[in-house]
Amino acid sequence: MDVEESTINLVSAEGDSSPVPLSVAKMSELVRSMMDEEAEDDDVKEIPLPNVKSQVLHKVIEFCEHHLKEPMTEIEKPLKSNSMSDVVQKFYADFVDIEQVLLFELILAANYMDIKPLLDLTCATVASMIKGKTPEDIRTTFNITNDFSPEEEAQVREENKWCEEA
Amino acid sequence: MSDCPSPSSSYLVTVGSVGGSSSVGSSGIGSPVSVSAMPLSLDDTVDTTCSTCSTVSPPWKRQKKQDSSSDSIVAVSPKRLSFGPPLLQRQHQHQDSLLLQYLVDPALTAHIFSFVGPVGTAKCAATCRSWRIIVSSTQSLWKQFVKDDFGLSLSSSNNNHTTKVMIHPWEHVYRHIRLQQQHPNHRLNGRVLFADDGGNFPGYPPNHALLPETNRVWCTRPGVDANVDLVIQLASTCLVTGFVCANGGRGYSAPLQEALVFLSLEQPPNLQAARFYNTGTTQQNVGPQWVRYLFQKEEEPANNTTNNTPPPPPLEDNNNNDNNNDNHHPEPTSPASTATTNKPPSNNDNNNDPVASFWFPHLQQAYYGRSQQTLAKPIVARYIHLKLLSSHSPPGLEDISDNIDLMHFHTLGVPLPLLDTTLLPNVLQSEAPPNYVRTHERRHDTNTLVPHDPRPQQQQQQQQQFVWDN
Repeated sequence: MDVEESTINLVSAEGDSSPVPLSVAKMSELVRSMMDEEAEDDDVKEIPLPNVKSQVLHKVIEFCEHHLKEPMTEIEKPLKSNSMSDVVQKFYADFVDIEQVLLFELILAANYMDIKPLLDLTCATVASMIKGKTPEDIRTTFNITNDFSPEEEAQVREENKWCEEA
Repeated sequence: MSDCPSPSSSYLVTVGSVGGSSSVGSSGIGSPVSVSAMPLSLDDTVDTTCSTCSTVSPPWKRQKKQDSSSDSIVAVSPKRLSFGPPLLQRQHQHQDSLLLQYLVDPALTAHIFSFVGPVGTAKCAATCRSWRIIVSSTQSLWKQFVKDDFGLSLSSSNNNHTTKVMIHPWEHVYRHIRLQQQHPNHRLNGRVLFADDGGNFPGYPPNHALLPETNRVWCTRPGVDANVDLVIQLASTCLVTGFVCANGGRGYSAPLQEALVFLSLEQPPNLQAARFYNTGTTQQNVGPQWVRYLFQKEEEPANNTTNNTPPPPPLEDNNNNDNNNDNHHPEPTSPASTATTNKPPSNNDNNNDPVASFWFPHLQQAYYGRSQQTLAKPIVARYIHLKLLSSHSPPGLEDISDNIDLMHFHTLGVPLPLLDTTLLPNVLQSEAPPNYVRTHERRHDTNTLVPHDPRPQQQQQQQQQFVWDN
């Protein structure tokens, strides 16, 4: 049997099963290691992913499928632009043009499934929302509450003098 | 907070000890998070299980691997990993920010910051307490910023590094260098540690090259006209931003033509390894290749170059120019003939490529040249190694132009006083004079003003009195 043409079922937190080609599934180091552990067991057809919701899993599969056809450009650190379309190909820039909740869940899923390019893409997207902004702008973007005491705030301001003058 | 995000909200945390290093960074996020990778400041165990959401069991096959090696953990295990101090727990329960609810894992947040860069990261630290803790405790992040922006990367061979760096976090190192960087650049004081000039030309010692711009010149001995090493030790660890070099010019018989500059921080330069970059000693002729490569990089539009020197000739033209009287290195037929070159070969054993080059053109009777090279990125260094590759031979002076004349070589930048004394003590101190082997035999004859010293070379060096140039 041709291993590359076989499929495996990824099972989401809700119990939904998504059949994916083995080559796509193995972009996840988590799946790959689980497959390797069970290499002698031909009956391994399902990989449970209890930490990944169905909606997120579908996005992960979409990413992996496309990545095999068109590998994502490596993202340079630090980001040179606030626009992801300047950093990666159009597909990937559009891929992360999503609501914050889904973006954060993708980060967790990419970390959990150990898919480095997806983790880089999603983390870089969050970084693009931060880059070039003031602390107040960042709070507004992510709805962060300023919980510093006045003394702490003064200390932070003192510590950050170098970047205010940069 | 009604809709608590599941997977990460159910993590049970064992907080690491002070000074641990996150796995994010050099190893990448491919091996995301381990408990020991979180350099948090508390030594207690914090149960951050959220009462509003159900606990999710870890993947059934993952447990075995996670137990075997913390380094090989590839996914965040809900039962074992993630966020730490009570402060973060409070944020998790009461923060309105979705970002802080979801990304409670310091290693993940640090990975985001690695894309933001140092300035953005510092601004994130000014937004809330939880991010300030993460920014301050993730030293691997700042270590990478220091390496990327200032080329400061300590070797792992020195055991002192670990403890010293923990005591004085990389964030402070970064901040100190950035603050010092805002000071105006100036000529850095240094002293000649070693000059392989065959015993300098009488009255023209190597320290003349370090003096402020005067007419005093350093001249190598007759017969020493290629591959001359000059090692300079700066008065302290400094942020080097560029160099100024002038050859002897008109009136001198052998003005400098080509030179390479190397930098090192922890130890004096390895001259033996750097001989890989000599000219004329190997078929590859690596040194002149590097001169052209660095010259071209300096000319790229992104650089704010102050170098007005025309480009050096391509190497293939050197042997076929009958119209030129400069018998060391002929002129190119056309400046446009300078070929675009890829990065020349490196000495992988040394892992220390040249950072700047100088090339002085043949300008008929006027050979004087002064050139300033600005580094694309400043580099933290303590030792400068200048390798003089070749000199000009003016028409009519061929018989006596068998050495190299250098008017001055100045290093530009700013001192980093706290790096030596407070932030990285004992790491950047290597005062023992190196025992360099000369390639150009030191000659003494009746014309030499310096009397012959019959003592062994090492003994001479140890007793040598170094004087900082002012």
